[in-house]
Amino acid sequence: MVAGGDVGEGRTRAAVDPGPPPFARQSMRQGCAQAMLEIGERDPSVVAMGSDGYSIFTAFAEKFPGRFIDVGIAEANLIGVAAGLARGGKRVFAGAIASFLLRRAYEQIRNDICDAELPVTLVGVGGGFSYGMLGATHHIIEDFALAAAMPAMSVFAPADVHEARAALHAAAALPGPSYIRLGAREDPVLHEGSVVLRRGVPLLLRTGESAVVFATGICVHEALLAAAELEREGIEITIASVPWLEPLSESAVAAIAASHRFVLTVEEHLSLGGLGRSVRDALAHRGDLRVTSLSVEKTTPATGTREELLSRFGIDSVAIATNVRRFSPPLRRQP
Amino acid sequence: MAISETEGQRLGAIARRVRRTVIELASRKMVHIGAALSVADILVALYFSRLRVRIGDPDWPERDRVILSKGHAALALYAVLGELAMIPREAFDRFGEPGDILTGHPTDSIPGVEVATGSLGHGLSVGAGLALAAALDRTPQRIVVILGDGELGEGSVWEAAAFAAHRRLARLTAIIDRNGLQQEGPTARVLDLEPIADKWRSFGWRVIAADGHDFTELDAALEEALDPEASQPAVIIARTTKGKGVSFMENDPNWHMAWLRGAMWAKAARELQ
Repeated sequence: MVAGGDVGEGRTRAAVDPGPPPFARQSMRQGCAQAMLEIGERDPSVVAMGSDGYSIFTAFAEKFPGRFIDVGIAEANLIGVAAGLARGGKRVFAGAIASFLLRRAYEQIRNDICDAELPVTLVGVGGGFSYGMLGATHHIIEDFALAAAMPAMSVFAPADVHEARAALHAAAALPGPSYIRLGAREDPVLHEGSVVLRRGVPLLLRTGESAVVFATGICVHEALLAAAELEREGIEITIASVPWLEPLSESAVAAIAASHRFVLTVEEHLSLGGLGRSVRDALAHRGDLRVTSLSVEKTTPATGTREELLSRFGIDSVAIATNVRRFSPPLRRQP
Repeated sequence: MAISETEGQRLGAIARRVRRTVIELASRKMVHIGAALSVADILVALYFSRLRVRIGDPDWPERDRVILSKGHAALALYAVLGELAMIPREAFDRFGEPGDILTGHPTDSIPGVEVATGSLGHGLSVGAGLALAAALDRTPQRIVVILGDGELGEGSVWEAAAFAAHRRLARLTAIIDRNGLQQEGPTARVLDLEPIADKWRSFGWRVIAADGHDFTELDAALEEALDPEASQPAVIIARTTKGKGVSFMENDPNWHMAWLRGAMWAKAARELQ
């Protein structure tokens, strides 16, 4: 097994991707807003809290004004108050900009929420590079690792509006804490309709014999673009979206990879503590397998649009297609 | 109404026992001792007079909640919870041995400990959340958070202070153990936050001053702070002496954390008879 892949340098996105399938676009926040209404209706103990940038709770706040708390721009207090509410019998959803929520209030999340295994769901808006040109302070490419290092924490990174809604519902059914990374803007809609998440189990979006790609978040869309391109070359790949990252179901990952010899993982996250590590752990018993992980290199802060950054770090459709081609010759040309 | 002389004597006797327990535990290993002696009378006044708690029943759902945000004063809290038959005798007997449940800072698996603390600046936010839950559910619980004066250097304390006043969390009471000393020296020299009372008042809190070692003053302050008709949270600034009750420890930052052995232990124990 090896980590790190070919970033597909020298190839432009346009050259490899002349006609991507036209995915409709919808914000993950809409899926969350809908889920919050459903969850709030079902469970009167649900309270939503926001600290600047919490439009996911606007509809909830209109419907249940007494059950929405705005703490102002104060992430540490957001988490402490969430812990107190949870100790007082509430199920809390606390939303803020992902990079501020996790990094600013890390100790409160650990001591006040996770050590006590309280039912608090942290909803981080704008994970990865999704804030693009807003700058490096708004990027967070270490959130899976930060969150997964916490006791009892479940970690979600939906790929579209349907997965986002399902992640909220899955989190609402957990006895303990969770973190959900959302995008910031309109993201491609990848599923035709509602999906249901099972603990750590990836969702299959297409199947093919040449390779299996485990991807999460926006990289699932990149994988689908790559698959469309590869299909024209006679290469069929399996794509598994991993919205429930931690704890990951090792048996489900192994089952998906069972008939394959080449596995690619792709994530808008550092290698450290990310999807690639978890998938390789799950498949460590497979000596016959080659696993390549595409992730964000740890560097000084990078700036650019999200698309530029996905390309620069080799986690876009071009890099995915390039890496699949290296190890999976087109089936048609095989003897 | 002021407490009676007999009540004052009763509380004084409990406080003396609490301090003796602290000294006894401090003879077993290195512990935070100065802060525990500083806050002991505040805890006794709370638990044995004004709060609704049930002896031997740490999980009674209707109990008032206390958060010792200055978690390093843990030994005083443990001694009080022992007096209330919440922490079993064996835990004290085994203190300092492997497997004992009494950690250097409060862990919430210890019976009677509401919230794990130790890193400063967390307790007031959690207390505000508990007060908010009580307000949403219209339950009569009162929430009391005990802070150190050095702890006020944490910005999160002031985030919580602003929030609690904004939400008019009148069930929330903060008590500042104002002993004027932190680990590295006098608070006035390290980071002078005076005028502390004016700061809290300007944040929208009711501010009450008291002698933190005088049960008559403490009780009057608590009665005012816990006023069910109040519409704002209250803070009691309790003037205290770090190391209170043991002459050679009083106002000496060297006793912030120490192992009390030999002749020193004997002297301290004699003073607390």
